Amino acid sequence: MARERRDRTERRDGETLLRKRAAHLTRRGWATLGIGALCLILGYTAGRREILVVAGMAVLLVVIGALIVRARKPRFDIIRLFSPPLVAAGSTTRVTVRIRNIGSSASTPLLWNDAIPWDQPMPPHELGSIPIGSAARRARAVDYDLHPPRRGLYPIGPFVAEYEDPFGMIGSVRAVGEADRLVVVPDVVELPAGGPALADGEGTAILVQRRVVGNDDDLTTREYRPGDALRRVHWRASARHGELMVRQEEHRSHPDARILVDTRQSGYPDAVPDVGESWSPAAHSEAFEWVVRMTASLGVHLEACGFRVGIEETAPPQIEPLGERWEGGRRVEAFLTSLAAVRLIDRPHDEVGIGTTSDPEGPVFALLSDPDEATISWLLKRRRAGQVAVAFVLDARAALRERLTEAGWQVVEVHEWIEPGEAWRDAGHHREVRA
Amino acid sequence: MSVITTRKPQLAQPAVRGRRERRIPPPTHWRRLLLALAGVLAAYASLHVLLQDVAWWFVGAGFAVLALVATTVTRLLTRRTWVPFPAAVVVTTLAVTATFAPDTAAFVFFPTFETGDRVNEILTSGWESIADQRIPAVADPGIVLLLVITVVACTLFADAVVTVAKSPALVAVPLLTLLSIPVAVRAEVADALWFVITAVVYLAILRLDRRRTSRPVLALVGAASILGGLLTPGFLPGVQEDTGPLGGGVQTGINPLINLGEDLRRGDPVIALSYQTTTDEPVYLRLGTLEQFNGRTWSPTLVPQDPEQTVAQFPQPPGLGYEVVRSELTADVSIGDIGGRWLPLPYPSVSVEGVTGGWYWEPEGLSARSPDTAVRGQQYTVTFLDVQPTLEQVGEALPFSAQDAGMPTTILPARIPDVIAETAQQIAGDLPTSYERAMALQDFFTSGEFEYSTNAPVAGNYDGTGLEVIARFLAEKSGYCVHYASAMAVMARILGIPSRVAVGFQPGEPLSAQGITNYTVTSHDLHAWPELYFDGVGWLRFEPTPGRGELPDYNYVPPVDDPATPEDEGAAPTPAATSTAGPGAERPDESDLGVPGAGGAATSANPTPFVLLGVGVLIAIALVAPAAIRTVIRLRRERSVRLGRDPAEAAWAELRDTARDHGWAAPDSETPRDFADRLAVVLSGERERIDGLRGDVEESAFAPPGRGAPTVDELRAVRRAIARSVDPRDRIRAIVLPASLLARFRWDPEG
Repeated sequence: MARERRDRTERRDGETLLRKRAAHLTRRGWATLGIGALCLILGYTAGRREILVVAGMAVLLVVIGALIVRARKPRFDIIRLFSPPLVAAGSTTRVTVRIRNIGSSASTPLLWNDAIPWDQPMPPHELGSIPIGSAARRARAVDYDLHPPRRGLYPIGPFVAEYEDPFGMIGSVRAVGEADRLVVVPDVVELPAGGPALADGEGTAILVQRRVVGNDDDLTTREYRPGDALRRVHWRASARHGELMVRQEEHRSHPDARILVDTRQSGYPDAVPDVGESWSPAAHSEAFEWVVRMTASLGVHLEACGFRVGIEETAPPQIEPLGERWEGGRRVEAFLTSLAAVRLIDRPHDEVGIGTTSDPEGPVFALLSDPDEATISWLLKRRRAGQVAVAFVLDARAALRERLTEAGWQVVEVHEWIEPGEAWRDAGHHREVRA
Repeated sequence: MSVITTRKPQLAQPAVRGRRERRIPPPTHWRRLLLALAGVLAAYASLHVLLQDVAWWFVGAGFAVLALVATTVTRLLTRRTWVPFPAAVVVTTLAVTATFAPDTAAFVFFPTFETGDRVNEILTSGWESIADQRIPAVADPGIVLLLVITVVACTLFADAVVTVAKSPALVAVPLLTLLSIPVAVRAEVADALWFVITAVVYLAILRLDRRRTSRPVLALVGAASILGGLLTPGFLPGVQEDTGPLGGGVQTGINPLINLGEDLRRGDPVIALSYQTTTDEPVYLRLGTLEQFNGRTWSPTLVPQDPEQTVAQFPQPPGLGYEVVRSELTADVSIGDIGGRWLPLPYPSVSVEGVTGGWYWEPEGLSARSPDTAVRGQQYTVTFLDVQPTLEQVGEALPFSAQDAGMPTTILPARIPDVIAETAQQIAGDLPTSYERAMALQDFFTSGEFEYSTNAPVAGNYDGTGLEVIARFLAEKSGYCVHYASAMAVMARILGIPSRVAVGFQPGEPLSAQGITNYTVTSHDLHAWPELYFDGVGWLRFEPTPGRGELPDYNYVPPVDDPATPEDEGAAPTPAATSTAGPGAERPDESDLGVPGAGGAATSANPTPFVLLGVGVLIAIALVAPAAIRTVIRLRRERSVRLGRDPAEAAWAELRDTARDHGWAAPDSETPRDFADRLAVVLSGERERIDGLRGDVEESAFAPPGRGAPTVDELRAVRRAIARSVDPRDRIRAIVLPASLLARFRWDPEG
């Protein structure tokens, strides 16, 4: 049928498509209608009333079927619950679909599935008749697994019901209810030990550790490191520990770390128009996906290490900062959710880094691919002398690499297929080599 | 309706894939096959209107089962899908050999070349038998073999579509094939009962592989489509009925004689045609003539029609000498409810004017036939000859000697029962001239010894026109026009007079108004009579049937020489239907000549009342339906209240609906308390009860489960109070057209 052919074409082009085929004749319906028409003609040409009986029955089967399909369309209230509500790309979430029959009669048995924006085979499920009556009788819950392949915000649904009249003359495909939003966050990798030395990266973790040992002195002392002023040596503590301890007058429990992310489309030469799976289509770049993945892992890692992580973007900011500690688990959630939605922005004439603070302090990490001149100069300003600055550069040009290295940056060259953990280890490795 | 767009649908293909495995319960192979077989056998049984007895059905059914067993067993042995069918054909062939030609077979079962010839012979005889026999026919071996072949083919086809093609809907093809056989043979014989049974089985077949669905809906759709189908012809414009068999070809003949007898016994009279003529004399209108007699039946000589031979100009009547006095007369004929393609004409016609379509005369009988136009509704003026031969002219004709003339009008079958020949010789063998012999034959039948009866031949099982039938008829001395015509024609041939049988209408009822006599011919007036040939005069009509029709004037002895004097009896035509048989016994039916009613079920002779009844019933159902639905809803709610399933909710819903029925507004958004207050203002006397109900609703909503259970009596009391609050007219409207139903089935914007 022409309609189906159109459906297929549209599907290949990735364009939007009409999902609602309120009622259509099945092959059997067409054949029956054809027989009816044939018998009607035959009845008149051959002069036999009996043939009209067959014609009438054939046509009525189709017509009544159409009426039944119209009358028995499912009237459902659909609610979807995702468990877990936030799912990392590549992992599984279970969707519970709660269906409530809000019609005035028992629903017809039907086949259903949810419209899933990515290519995941979902065999249609049978849904038996849902009776009317009390609220408990009207409700039905079904579930299935989702395997989102990529980060993003995705519409799951609408609930698509396919059913026929009792004799299979008329079929109907109906979309019931609205789509629900599924947040697929980037996969967060635990970065292994052995990354760049973050000398300043002590924080709560250390404080807590000391507290376990249990002495007020310990609360404010730490081991001596080369360069500490002699006047800050805490002798009593040194005596107890058997090594030199210094007073920790300047609390560095929440040092700042910054992640600089290039989110301008001009910085990613491999950006192509998106295939359109996600809720908000934009340019898609594998390099940028790596950057987002690394941002997520790095952000969570640094946060766990006790840093106050600031995210700075070259384009207008989209990424939520990792919240304050008192916010609990939600601080990471907001950050990851914003990362699920982050996309490349194509505004070449904007100034780079609008809204970023000009208070560069603490270690700096830059994630970029092939930035333009403005981005590079902005980037170079972000490092204060003497601070750790690591740039993860995808498919780096030699010139860029040299330039960053000259400016005191440690450049880690990565590729899309390199795991964030591996890149992180590479960064540590570089340091040792350099050292 | 909002159009919902998403990307990448998942449904289209997988939906089909997943469906097969998920049926509950999966229909077994046997169930499919048995359903298909049941359908074929039910459709096969619809042939019973064409055939006598039931043995043919059992034979056909046996062969069908045999073929099906053969395919099934073969299917167990091999996986190839096509193998079972040749196997079934082989098994059927062996069985046919053993059944129909065992003496020619090797080891009873294995066909030889001789078997082939024999089977071919049987088949040929089957076709001939179909052509010759009247309905219901005797199922002789030829017919049974043809049926067996048809039914086995249909069964195998059904098997193939159910098991191999997996599209059970295609079983419609063999079913329709079988059902169409009676329809094709003759209009109005098909049996509604077996059609309904077949249709039900077919719907069951359509249900194979379907998802389970609500039974009432299923029954509703099925019943509505079958009943609607049966009523369809009544709602469609009338069909121009063609009475003859469809596609039966020449051999079954467009033979008006074959079923005439049966039609004389059935139905109500319908006006077939009316005519005015310039003479005082009534006119016999012929449909056709039957010249060929094969010992079993009379049939017309059909030759390909010559487009030159239009009815605008007829040829000279064969044999009519120039010296015979004749006068030209005209008749204005207006055809009513006659089907078929034969034009009723007097003999001999000269020309016909005003007829539409292509009509051509037959060279043998000068009857007129059309290949493409129906006779219904035609109006035309026919000019014809009134031939007035003198006795001398007629009397000159001599019987032909033995077999000198090879014309079809003289040929007799080889074996003639002795009684016929002896009777003929005994009556008129000694008379010298053809005319005297013919008159003697006619007198023999009309002398009073024979009686007219349409039922006696059926009761005595000698209905028809064959030689055996004539012999029985001569013994029983009771029959109707077909017997008389056939017997006299055969005896005339024995006596050396060329003869044929004419079929048409006797003159009918004259009605004089203002000097114009209008004859009305009804289906009562269907008739058959012999025509005998006399040298020099041509074909003359005789009337051997006692009490029917008009005796032609040359039949009287002594004949009047003066040809200008027409016979004087003609003015008093005998009312046919009342003459010899009991009332209603000989009412001819319209169906042979295709005089249909308005429509209705296939077997209904006069379906108009049936259709009216059907429409009336439908209207009545439509009128009662809202009240009935509303009552069902109420009873269900009361049941909920009684059984304690959400009793307060059910009671309150019922109360609100009752209020809606009686013209109150009861929006869903209103709280029970608001609604109760509103009600109580009008129904002040019922304040307590309403508040009690309302309290129950509120308790059931907010208190722990089990609280707040109203009783049915409370509910009924409030309902009665609401009903009392409006005037009687509104009360009736609330019952007949409950407004709450509208709210129940209102447009749902969600969908």
